[in-house]
Amino acid sequence: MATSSIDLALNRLRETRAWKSIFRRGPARTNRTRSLAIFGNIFLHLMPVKVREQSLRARATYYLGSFSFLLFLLLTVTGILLMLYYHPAVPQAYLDMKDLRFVVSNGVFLRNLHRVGAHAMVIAVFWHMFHVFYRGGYRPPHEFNWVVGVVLMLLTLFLSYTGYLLPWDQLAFWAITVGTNIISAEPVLGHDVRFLLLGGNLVGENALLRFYVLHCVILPLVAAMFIAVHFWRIQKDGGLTLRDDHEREGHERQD
Amino acid sequence: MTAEEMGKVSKRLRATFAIASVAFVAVLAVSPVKDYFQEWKRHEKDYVRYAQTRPDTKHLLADFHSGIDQIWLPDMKVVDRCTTCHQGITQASLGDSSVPQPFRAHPVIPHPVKEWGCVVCHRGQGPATEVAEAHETTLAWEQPILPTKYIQASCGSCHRGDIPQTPQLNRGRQLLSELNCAGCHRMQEIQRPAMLGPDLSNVGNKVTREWIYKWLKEPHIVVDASGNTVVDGYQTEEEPRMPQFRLTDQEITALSAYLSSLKSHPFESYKFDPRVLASLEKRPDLAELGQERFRQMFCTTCHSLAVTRGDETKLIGGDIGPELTKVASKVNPDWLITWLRDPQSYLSHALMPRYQWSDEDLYKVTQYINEKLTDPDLLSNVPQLETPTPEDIQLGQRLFLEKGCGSCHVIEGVSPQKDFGPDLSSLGGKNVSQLEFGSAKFPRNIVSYIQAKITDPLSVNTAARMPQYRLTPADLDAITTALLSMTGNPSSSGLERLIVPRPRPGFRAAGAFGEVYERYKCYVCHRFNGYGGTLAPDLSFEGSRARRQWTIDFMKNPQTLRPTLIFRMPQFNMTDQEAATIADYLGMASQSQFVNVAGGNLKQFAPEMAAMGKQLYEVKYQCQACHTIGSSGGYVGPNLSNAGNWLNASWIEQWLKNPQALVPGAIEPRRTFTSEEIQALTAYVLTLKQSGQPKAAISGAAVTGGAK
Amino acid sequence: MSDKTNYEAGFGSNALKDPQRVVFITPKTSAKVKGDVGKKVMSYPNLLLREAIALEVMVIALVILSLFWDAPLEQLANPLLTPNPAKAPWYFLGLQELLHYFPPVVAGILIPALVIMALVFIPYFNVNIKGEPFWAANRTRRFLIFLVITASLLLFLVIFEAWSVIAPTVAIAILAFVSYFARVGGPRPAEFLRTRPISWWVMTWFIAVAVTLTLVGTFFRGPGWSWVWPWR
Repeated sequence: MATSSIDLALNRLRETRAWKSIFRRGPARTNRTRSLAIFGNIFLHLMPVKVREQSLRARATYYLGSFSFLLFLLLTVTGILLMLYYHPAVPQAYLDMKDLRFVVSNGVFLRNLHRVGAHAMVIAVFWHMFHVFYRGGYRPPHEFNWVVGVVLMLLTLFLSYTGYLLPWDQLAFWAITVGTNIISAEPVLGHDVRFLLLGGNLVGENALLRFYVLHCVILPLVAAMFIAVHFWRIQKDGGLTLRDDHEREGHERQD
Repeated sequence: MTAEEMGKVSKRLRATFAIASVAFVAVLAVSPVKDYFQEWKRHEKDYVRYAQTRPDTKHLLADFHSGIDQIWLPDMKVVDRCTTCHQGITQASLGDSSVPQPFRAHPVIPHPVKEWGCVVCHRGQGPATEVAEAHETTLAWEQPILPTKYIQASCGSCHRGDIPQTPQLNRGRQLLSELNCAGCHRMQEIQRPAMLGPDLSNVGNKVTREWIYKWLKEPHIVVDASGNTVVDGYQTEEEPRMPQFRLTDQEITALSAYLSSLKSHPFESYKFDPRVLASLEKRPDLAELGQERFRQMFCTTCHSLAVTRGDETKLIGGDIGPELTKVASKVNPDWLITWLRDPQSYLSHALMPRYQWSDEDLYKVTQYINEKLTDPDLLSNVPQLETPTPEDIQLGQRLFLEKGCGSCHVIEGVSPQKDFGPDLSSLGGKNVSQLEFGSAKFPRNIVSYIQAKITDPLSVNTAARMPQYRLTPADLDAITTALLSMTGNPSSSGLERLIVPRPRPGFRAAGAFGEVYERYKCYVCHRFNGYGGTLAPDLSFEGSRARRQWTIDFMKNPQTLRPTLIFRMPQFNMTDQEAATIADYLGMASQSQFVNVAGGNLKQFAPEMAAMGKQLYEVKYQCQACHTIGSSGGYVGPNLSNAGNWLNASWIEQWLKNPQALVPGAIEPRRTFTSEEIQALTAYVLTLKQSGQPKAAISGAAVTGGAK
Repeated sequence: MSDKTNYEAGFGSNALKDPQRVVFITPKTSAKVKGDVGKKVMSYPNLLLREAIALEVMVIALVILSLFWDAPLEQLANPLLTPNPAKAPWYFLGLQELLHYFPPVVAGILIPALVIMALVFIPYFNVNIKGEPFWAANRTRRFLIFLVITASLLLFLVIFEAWSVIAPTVAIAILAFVSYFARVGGPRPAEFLRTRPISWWVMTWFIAVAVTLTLVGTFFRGPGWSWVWPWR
């Protein structure tokens, strides 16, 4: 049978020295090896080894936290590909958009996917937050993780906002101009903050470079750290608290 | 539940994962497939297929390279990928109109496609590789392809001066200048014309209030008693410079009241010599005498009159000055005399020369104008106008400013608003989203916008102040072209370097000649060093051509024996001194570097040479086909009967060697004379002298008549 | 406390001498102490498989969207050419809409700062940890307070003519008003509203306002931030 031959080949592979050097555990057929699969992996060890069955149900969370994180991954991948075609310079940035549209293979698709993903992430993060709130997920002992979540929400907005300028078209330029003008309405430090953000008094080449660095380096790194903390704390705060059948109390589920 | 069950996954979940994975891979494959079927790739395949049907397949395919084809002009910041689809654009064999687009070749132009790309002239989105994006207005590109009808606009974006290849653009610029669009609008490279609307500070002395009323009501239509449409007296093809303003009867009453009250410089009626009056007043044929003098002075070189022959009425005469068929119904007779004696004292930039009048001539001519050039019915439909009230006058003055009259007309003590209309200096490069269409119902593009604004200023903005112009469709297109050429300052330094500036008129005569030059307005008809009118010959090298004494004689009594010419130099009645000033100046300043006048004059020619020249003239080269000597010969070239007195020897020699070097575009054919033949012909021409008084017919108004 | 004779009954609290523990259960104790709910499964493969499916479904959806919808690209940025209206990214259009009504300091700085502060500090005030319904106790007093606060809020908004804030506020206020009169064991929607805690009402009001402002700012604002209908 085909399945058994695949299994056989897989088993042979697992017996090789190279495989064993990478995955120390054997095949995940026992609870012990399954546990090892999670906490033996640097990325997966942020997750709990066991989860409550209830918290896996779609209605418990709608997987909103998962989607937020997966969108972050998708945007990282598409974003890095887009960086290969992009110069943060005026007006080359705009010409790069034209090249993506007209010359680069699948360039339109790549840009569309990044743009759609960005909108989707903002929506997913907001939805996630409201959902958690309605489920009471901000209550002790999750209060710190809630604050981390609020920070992540702000980071998401800022990521989206800094990315908005990069095409350097009219839409981008004026959206950023309008947005930064709101900042300068703040009486004490408004103008200074705006100056710091734009690297000048107007949205120009300096602003483009700053937004580019923020969007591609600083904010993703900061967000990744906060995401790690966010995940870690779910486990440390006792996992997702769940709806109790007797009481109408909601709980959050996060990844 | 056993412990191991904790690790089991339901079959349903496994199945879901399997289906999702398949769909995942399938969906990711869509975009590469879509990419493979892009428009430009299809066009390239079509081109290869088409090339195989052509006789020169090999040659066509040798030049073909698949992939994106791009012309990059980094200086101009232009990326031009049009040739990706327009593959045959430089293939001479694909120029035929039967070749399907997008493969047809471009007609040969001074700017080769491979060096300049397409979008510099045709607009459109150069980097685009999709048909709609490249040619049309989209969100990302609001400069669509310029309709071919207006393509000369693109020439004008760089060539700020007129070039002969762009007649439509040149006509448009001329119209913008003539209609004084620059009076209200700021425009690129369009100067205010020398002839603005008349200064109205004193208009109350010149015309009656009734005439002003009629004019304001229908500047382009003044209907005579028989219902004929006439302009300022008679129907012309030309529009009057003044457009029609949308004025109510009340506003016209007020404006006419205000204008007729303007009498800032009262003038004294000219007192004719009583002896002249006494001798002429009683003559019954006074008007006929005046008409004769009017003709002799060649007033019709600049002014036209309506002449009826049979059923047909035509305007005969020039269009430099106003048409005069019914002028006496318009102007005050005393004002007319003052004007004729010194036009510039009434209107400082008037183009009319200041003639030297004898009382006799002046009286005759003004009597002729007052009696014959009039139409009592002209103002018959003007309503009875009451004596102007101060309120009327005040309202009139306000209207004068509000309606923008001050942009063309000057009134002393009234300062008009600056930049009355919108700035048009970058109109041609505006994006559609920058134009206000209001609720107008025409296509949203710049050509429709410009044409709608001009043909009906109210179509876009019901509060528009712009008056109504009446343009023929050809003129409308010309103006549209000129406006489209004004794309503002170039966006990149590379484009800036391409700008060919409009040549500045550099010639202004000074000194004694300058006074004469201004007084007789020589530049209205003649061109000096690239500046001046084109009606009469270019005089830049006149000093090399004509002899001093001939010039003086000609100035005193300009006559031409070119019977085919309608426009002739008027008789100015110059003094001897003025004529000498002109001749001296031309002899000094208007010299060609090719002609050594002093050397030529010293030359002596033997009579045998002249005889040989005569032989060549009459037999070998048959010059009489075009030139007249005495009473026989052709009329194409100038009359040579008096050429010996008229032309310098060295000019004749140079002319025979290469006429076009002296006068570009001269129609005299360039012959390959031997130098001996040139010597002989020169010797012969110099023997051609007419004796007798200068008042008699003297030959040769214009050698460069050849240029006309 | 170590003196045995000083007490007669109760529990010792010295853990060294008397290894007994006392648990004080207060209403503020976290839900965690209630113990685990339901059975557990291994994250590998149960959770991981679901995450993988989630990723695939999400990518499929986004890919299909991006095949049919093109990311907008307008003309090259031109500081001299201000579009009318110039709009911020959609998630800031709520703020921009607020700016239309209130002074910049209030709409651009004060309100967003307050919202973020509130979000950060909510969990540190253990208000109503049990999630008791708003109308469960002190009904009359709470109703009066509700009426006064709602009325003054609406008055404030009317002064600034902030119609796109007033509309959702009025809608939520009506729901809250109705829920006050709902009887126990009524129809399901009424029962649902009746049992909502105050935090639910505040959050719902906030979301309603935010969504309304964003929608209005995105679709209903034209030149000069005037009202336009998106279908015209």
